Amino acid sequence: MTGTDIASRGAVDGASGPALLDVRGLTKTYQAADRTVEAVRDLTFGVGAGELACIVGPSGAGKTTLLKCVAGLLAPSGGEVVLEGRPVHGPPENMAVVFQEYGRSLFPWMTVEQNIDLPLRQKKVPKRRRAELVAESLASVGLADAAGAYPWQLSGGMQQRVAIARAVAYEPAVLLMDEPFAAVDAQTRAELEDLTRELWRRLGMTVLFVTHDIEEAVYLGQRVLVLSAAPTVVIEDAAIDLPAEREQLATRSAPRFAELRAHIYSLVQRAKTYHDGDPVEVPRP
Amino acid sequence: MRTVLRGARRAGHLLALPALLLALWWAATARSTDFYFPPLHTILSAFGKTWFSGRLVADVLPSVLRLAAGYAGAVAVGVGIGVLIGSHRRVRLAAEPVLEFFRAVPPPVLIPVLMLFTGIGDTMKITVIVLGSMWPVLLNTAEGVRAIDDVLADTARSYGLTGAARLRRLVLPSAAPQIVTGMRQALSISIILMVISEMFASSSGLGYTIVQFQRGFAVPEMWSGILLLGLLGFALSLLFGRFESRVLRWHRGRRQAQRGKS
Repeated sequence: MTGTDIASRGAVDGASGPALLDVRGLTKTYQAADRTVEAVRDLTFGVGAGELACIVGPSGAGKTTLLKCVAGLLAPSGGEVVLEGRPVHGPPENMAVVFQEYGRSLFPWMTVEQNIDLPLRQKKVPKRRRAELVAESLASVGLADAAGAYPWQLSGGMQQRVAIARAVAYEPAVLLMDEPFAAVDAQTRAELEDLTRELWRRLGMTVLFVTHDIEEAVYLGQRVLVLSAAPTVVIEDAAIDLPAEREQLATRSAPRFAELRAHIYSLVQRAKTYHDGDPVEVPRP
Repeated sequence: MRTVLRGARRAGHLLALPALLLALWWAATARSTDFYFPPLHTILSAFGKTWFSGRLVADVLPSVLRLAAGYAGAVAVGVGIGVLIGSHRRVRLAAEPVLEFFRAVPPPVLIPVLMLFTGIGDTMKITVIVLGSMWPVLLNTAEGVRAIDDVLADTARSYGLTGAARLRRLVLPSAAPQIVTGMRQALSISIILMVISEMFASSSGLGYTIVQFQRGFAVPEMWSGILLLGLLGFALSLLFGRFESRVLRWHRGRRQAQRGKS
């Protein structure tokens, strides 16, 4: 039933050069009191340098588990994550994460500027360079004059911009984004999507973007990886062959966009019942 | 100009009731001939004579120094152990019953015991203050550390904040609201223990002096000592308020912002 889907992955991999980020046979099982919960069964994919890859899946697909394993915040039960040739065992220095809960990921006792500066300090970036990075990153998200404000004085969209600025200033090889725009209004969301693409193209970063929103994934990504419901596997790695210049209205109304969205949509629908034919998990004695 | 006016109005609000109470006290005791409740003006005139003729250095200063040392010790020990307990679930589970027990022991009970080990000097008094007033700091710190937001903790970790930097930049600021609450409670306990420890066995200090006056039937002087203690407590509480609003400015601002949105 899945043979053809999985075959299509090889084609994309072949096109995208050596992987900067390599996820190999990743598994994650949680030990509950009386049984084992298999959250991630087998994830294997690579993200090439400078790529923007999106991951979509039905809710409960273990997207956050996957992202935390990639970020080194959670130890996988099996398999490995390799970043720039080195296996990830803890949070790597050349990776930054933008979380969904912007209100809980900025330090409320620090100003915007201090929030961006702290990771750089930790990385022992010289003082002058730090000031430059803070100013540049704030300017790049359009918040140059909010440096002295506290996060809670800003709107939700602005707070997420600060979190993005902090990640960008860190100059990571890979930027992970965990449903970063799920909690902002539609207008802000569109703006932040365009900001993400703009920063990605300008700075040549590698971005792994996790979302539950199919349209968002198609609009943003060069590739979309579709995950199954838990226990998670990759059911398709779809190339998004839209032009590199994307614009909210024109791109979203293009016929090719509609086709791709329909394709991913049907995959996600299938993803929900992907394991229904599997033998039922038997609780351990 | 406006801030001056606002300051004056605040001071007015702050002082209106104390002024009224003092006036009542004055009026009620003005013609008093009761030996134990002398007129307030007698107490006030005793106040100047009693405290501004050398006792400020001989008795008030030692008290304040013991209080400062004991309070600082209580905060240091409370925050230290609190962070340890709050950070490790196992330590917390193991320590909880013991903590509940020690917290339930009334601190003055420690005085006779400590006198056996540490004598009757400053060490005993400071130890009593530390052991008695560290509990609210300890328990509140542990609670604050335990409640650190996990997204914030993940963020800190992903940006390489570990060890001392994590403690300084994440754990302590994040638990600061609870720590400060504990410190406020500890302050009043410290003052009480300072006085009590000096009443037991001492040769200087506010508690000692007040007991001396009482034993010598120097009633107006005794009352003036009580008044001075009240003033000391009030001044420390004001000082603490300023410290609190400085340290927790972000916390109050954020709470107001959140309330405004919902």
